Amino acid sequence: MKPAPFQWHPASSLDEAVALLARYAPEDGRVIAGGQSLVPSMALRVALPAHLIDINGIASLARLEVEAGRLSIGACVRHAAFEHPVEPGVLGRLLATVAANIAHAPIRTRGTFCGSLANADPASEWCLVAATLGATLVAVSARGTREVAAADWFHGIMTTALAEDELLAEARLPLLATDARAGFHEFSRRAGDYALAMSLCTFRVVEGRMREARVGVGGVEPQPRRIPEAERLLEGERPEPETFARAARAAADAVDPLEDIRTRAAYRRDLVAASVRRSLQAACDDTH
Amino acid sequence: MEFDNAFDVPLPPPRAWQWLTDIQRIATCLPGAELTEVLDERSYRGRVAVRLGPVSLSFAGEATLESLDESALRARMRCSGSDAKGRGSTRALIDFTLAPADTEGNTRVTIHSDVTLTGAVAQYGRGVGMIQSVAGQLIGQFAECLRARIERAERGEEVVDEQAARPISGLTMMVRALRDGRRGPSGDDPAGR
Repeated sequence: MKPAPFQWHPASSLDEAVALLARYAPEDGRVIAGGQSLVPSMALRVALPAHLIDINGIASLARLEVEAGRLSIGACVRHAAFEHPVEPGVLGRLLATVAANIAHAPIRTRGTFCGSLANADPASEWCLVAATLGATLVAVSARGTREVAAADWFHGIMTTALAEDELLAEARLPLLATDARAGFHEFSRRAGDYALAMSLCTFRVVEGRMREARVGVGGVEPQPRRIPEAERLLEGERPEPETFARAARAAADAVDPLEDIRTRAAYRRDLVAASVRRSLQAACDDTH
Repeated sequence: MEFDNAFDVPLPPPRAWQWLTDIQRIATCLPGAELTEVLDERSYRGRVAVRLGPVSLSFAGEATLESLDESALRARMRCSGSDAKGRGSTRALIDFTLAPADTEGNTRVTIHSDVTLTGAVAQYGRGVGMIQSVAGQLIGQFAECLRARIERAERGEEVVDEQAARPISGLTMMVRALRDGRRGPSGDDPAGR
């Protein structure tokens, strides 16, 4: 199928883009960067936006750089940009591991990090990264600029704190400590398919004990989140398989899994236990 | 599909009942909803707008209070609607039950919904609990708005409800206009935005 007619508005600056958005959002005007989800939805005529505001020509939104201890990711930075470490530390290495799990190579050259966060699909890898590492999201509109913490960003399946006249201009990820370890694991039925469950774990090992443990789970509930019940079981413990299994079980018990015709809640819960155990082990083995 | 939700109202059950059955008074608390016409004492016509990722839907339809049992504090509402752009339609049978909440003087409202979705929208989002998630958000925001409004009314601060003060039969009202015009004194946006 082909999309329904729409008007295309190329923007050459952020100011111009948000002015266009303020004008056209009430008529279902949408921002397009990579169009990873928007374009297929339009082709299926499920999405019928009357106006598209194209931000690909805005040079400042292609920004991808480290400053003041965090990685700033502009709205037009593609998934493919992360396939090779974008910074020499633990975060760059982790993001490269995660990027390889996002769809397929051609899609990774179009879809964007910020687009994934604005779309907020429960199975989005970048949404899990943002929720687990505590990203800051920068929303810009003609009314001004505001920063939203990842914890306040996700409101449910494909629903976020972003207002209809706001553009997610940048995402900021804190760099990980030089001695941090990170592990990611995703399960999907076919390579590149939507995750049925995935997890991201980070911790430091100080004098043989785990510190600052973070356990995030995605693709399971309407939105990704950290699981404090699992994190508590890791804090101060030795990084050992039995401890990982206990924390993984606690994570599986703590989630309220989504169900669909092919995936029962109990199955997703089992996947959480396996995924968290494997990402913890991957983090344990992540010693550079 | 069937699913359950619940929320608390800061009033004892008999008084919560009065609020919750005053559809015209509380409709503006439902985010994205617009009450467009009152057909009779128990039937209403309206619209509900939902944004999910790249998709904006607007369902227009009718809601009827089929049963209203004040002694048992139970109500049943039947709703039907279809997307303005032909992407699907929905039917729902919703049962409300009011009971004393754990907190003294509060009411727990439990909602059992049986929702049928047909057309292209039914396939959207890979069928992964989308409807429950949307319903949960709408109900959460509705409950928050209702609580704020009840608390204001209890303090005697609620502004006169223009629309409830009017005769109800056969009157077409654009609630959104009223709602936007009413934002001033309280600074509160009933849409929860």
